[in-house]
Amino acid sequence: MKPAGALARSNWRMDEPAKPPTFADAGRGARDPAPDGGARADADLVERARGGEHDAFRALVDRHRDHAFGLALQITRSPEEAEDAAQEAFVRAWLALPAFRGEASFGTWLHRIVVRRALDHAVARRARVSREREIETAESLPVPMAGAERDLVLARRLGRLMEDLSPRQRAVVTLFYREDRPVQEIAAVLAMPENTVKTHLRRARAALREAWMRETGAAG
Amino acid sequence: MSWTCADLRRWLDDGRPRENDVTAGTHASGCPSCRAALAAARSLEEALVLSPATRAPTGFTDAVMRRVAAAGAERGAGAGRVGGERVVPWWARLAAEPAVVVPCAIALLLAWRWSTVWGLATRLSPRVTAWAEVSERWGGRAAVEVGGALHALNDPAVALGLVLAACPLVVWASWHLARWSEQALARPLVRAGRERG
Repeated sequence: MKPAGALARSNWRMDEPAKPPTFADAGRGARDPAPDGGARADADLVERARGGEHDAFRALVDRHRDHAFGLALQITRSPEEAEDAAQEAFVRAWLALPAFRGEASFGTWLHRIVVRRALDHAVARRARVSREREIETAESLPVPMAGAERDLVLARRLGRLMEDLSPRQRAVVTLFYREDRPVQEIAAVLAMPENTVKTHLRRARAALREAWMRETGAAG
Repeated sequence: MSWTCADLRRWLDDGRPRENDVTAGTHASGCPSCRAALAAARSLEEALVLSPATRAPTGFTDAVMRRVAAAGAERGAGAGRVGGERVVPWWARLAAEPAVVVPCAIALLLAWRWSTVWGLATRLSPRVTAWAEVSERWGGRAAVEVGGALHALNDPAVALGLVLAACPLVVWASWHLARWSEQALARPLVRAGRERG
């Protein structure tokens, strides 16, 4: 088993804080390795992958891996768990490709799988890992490499506070704010009633705001 | 309508719906703690939206493809595929698939000796009728109905109807049998390939 934080220190990194691209953005080419690609390129790759082309699926993984990993990391708050969850999501997507009807884009479809896998990992981890270990891991999260100092401080502070939320609250907050998803879609992805999503959001906002004010007061 | 501090906190918890912006601002302007809470909510939302973009670890794609290959070997992303690539040659698949071979053999036999097969059924018919008569004495009406139904097979229209009705069932069973037999053949080939490679 990999030591906690080893991955974070060794081979992955945070970029400067910015409004992150969503899966839909990936489909529009925001992080598209091939700028002329987009949703159409995804659709072509999916069609080829459904026909059994290994290389086509590899290209899909390349296109969506950063966002899948980032999303899983936001929910699990652990680089190891996030990597595992994101990889599992891709494997499940591969196995389910024959049943993929293309009603949603590949990115949206994958996004749902990633969220569910990450949430499962986060819930299991919460039951497994002690509070002290969680704090250790939070501190081992990657050091931002560039960007405005204030934004980096905000991002790091937020990361610490997110630790105190339940995995479901983290998932809801991540999907609502980071992924810019409406409540109805979050309810569908997480298989919970819309009112439950709203309750999670309300409680998460209240908890984060109180902690934010305490931290700001302590810092100030 | 003026707000209390509790009203403002509820509004913040609800995500600051725009329709109450003015009322909230009016209250916050005269209440230092609510002003601080509003400022905190704003900077918090800013931070939530500005979460740092991350990059997947190096070797992520290779790890996914290894897991895909392993999962394909176990469950098949299609029968006889590993990582999306066929591992069973076509001639081996054909030989291994009774679902293909058996119906083909039966179809060839029917085409070649249709009159013989039909004649056999016709010769069988009097015996069926005789069996039904004997059964009538011992078995009652149910046996007569079964015997009568078998006798009806002599009618070409009934036989054709039965064949047509059986077609979807045969196709469904054949498809599953073909997938199963190909996967059964793929596993030892994959294992042998791994041991070699």
